[in-house]
Amino acid sequence: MFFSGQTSRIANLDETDGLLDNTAGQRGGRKPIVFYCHGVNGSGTQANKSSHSPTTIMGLNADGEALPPHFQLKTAAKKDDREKINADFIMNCHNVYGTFGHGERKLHHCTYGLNERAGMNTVELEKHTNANILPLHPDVEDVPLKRIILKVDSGPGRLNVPMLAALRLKGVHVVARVPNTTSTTQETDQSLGPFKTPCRGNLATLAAARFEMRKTLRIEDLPIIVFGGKDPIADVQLENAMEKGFNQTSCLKAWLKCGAVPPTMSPLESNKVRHECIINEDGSLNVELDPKSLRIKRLEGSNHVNCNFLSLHGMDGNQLRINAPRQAAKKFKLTEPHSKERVEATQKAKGAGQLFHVTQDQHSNSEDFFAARAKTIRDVEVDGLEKKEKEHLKHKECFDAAKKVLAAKGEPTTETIATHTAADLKVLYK
Amino acid sequence: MLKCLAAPETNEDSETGWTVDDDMGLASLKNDAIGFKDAALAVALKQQANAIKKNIAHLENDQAAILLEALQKRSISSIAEDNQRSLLQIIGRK
Repeated sequence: MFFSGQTSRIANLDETDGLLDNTAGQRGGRKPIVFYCHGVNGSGTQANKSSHSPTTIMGLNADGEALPPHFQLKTAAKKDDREKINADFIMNCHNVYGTFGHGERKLHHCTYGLNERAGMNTVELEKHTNANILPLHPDVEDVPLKRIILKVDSGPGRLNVPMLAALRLKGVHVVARVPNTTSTTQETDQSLGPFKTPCRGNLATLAAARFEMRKTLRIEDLPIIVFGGKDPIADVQLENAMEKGFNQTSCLKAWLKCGAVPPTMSPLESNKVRHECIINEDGSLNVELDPKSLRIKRLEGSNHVNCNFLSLHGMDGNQLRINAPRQAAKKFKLTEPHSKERVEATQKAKGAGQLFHVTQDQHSNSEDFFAARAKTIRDVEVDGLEKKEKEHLKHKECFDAAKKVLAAKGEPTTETIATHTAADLKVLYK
Repeated sequence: MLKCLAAPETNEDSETGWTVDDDMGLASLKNDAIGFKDAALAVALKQQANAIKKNIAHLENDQAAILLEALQKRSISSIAEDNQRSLLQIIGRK
C-alpha cells in the first residue's frame, strides 16, 4: 500500500495540557480500596494543584515512532532576551529515539517554547514546525518519495498562509484532520490515553512524596512526570509514561485504529461517529458516503411502524416518533482539483471544517488553497478598481455632455447666456 | 466642468485619477488566471532564494553543485524560450 520508507514520513501532532494539576484530571482505571475509620481524621488524599498549565505537543509517525515532545511553557518576560528556562527542566528531559528521515536510528532532543499564555498560537506553531518537525527530515523535498505529510487538527495558526507556503515549498504537506472526530481519527489522541494514565500516577506519587517532605512540585518536575526515573528530591521511582503511551506497538495500533495506515476507513463504521442518511438527488440512499445510511433508515422505519401502532391503540404515538438525520448528497459533491469551482469553494470556506469538505481531505497547502487566498486579495483589488472606474465613467459622461454643449452653443458669456438653457448650464457648471 | 475642459488632454482623468494603466490592470485582474507568482508561494520562494543567496558561502559543495545545475538548466530553458519567442515574432512579421 505504501512505498518503502514512506510511513515514517506521515506524522500526526496533537497538543495536550501540561499535566501538573491532579485535582481535575481523571486517571482512569478502578479506584484503589481505601480502609478508613470514622473516628480518625485525615483520610483524604493530597493532590497537587497548579495554575501553571503548560502545553505539551506530542506526535507520532505511521512507522510507529514517537516525535520528540515539545513543551510550551509560560513566561512573564516581555522581551526575547529576558526569557529564561530552568536548567533542571532541560536536564530532566530525555532524548527520543527515532529514524525519521535520517536513515539511521538516532536520538532526537525535545524542544521548548515560551510565551505569555503557555499555549500554541500562530507564531509558536510556525516555530515548532521549523525547530522540531523539519530537523527530523533533513532530506525533505517537494519531489515524490521525499515529501512529508503532517496531519494536524484545527486550531490557531493551522491556516497561517506564509507558514503553509514555506512548508509546501519544502515538501511538507499539511493535511487537516476530519473536524469533530478527535476520538476516532486523531492517532496521537489514541496514544494520549495510555500516556496520561501513568503521567497522573507519577504526579500523584511525586506529589505525595514531596508533600511528606513539606516540599512542592514545580514546573521543572514536568519532564520527570513525562519521562519517569528517580526523583532526586523525594527519592521515588516514577515510570516512563512516554514509553508506555508512545512505544512502537502502541503507535502502530493508533494508526490502525484510526484506519489511516493501513487505510481501512474504519472510522466510517465507528459508533462514536454521528451517522446520517445521505440522500441522492433521485431520493435514493447513498451508502458510499455513509455505509450506515441503510441501517438508520431501517431504524426510522421501525420507529414509525411502532409509533403508528401506538396511535392506532388510542395513544399519542407521535410523542415517540423520530426522523433519521438527513443530508443531501450534493452537499458533499466533489469539485475537480485546480478547477475554478474548487478555488471558489475554498475561498468561501470559513473554518477548518468547511475547508475539509471543500478540499476533500487534500492537504491544506495545496495550489488550490493558495490560489483561493490570492483570489481573495485580488477580489479586493478588483472591487477598488471597479469603484474607481465607475466614478471615472460617470465623470466621462458629464465631460462628454459638457463638450457637446460647448460645441453646439459655445462658452456662456453675457452676450450668449440667453441661448443656453438651464439644463445646459447645469451640465457646464456641474 | 469648464475647468476640466480647459485642461490639456492627458491619459489620466484629472478628477478621478483613472489612467489607461488602471484600465489595463483591471482587465488583466479580471481575466488572467491566478498563477504561481500571484500566490503566497511566490513570496515564500523569494524569501528562500534570498536566504540561500545570503548563506551561499556555507552551502556544502555537493548541494552547491545541485543548485548550480538547476540554475544552468533554468537559464538554458529560458534561452530556448526567448529564441522561440523571437522566432515566432519573425514569422509573425513575415
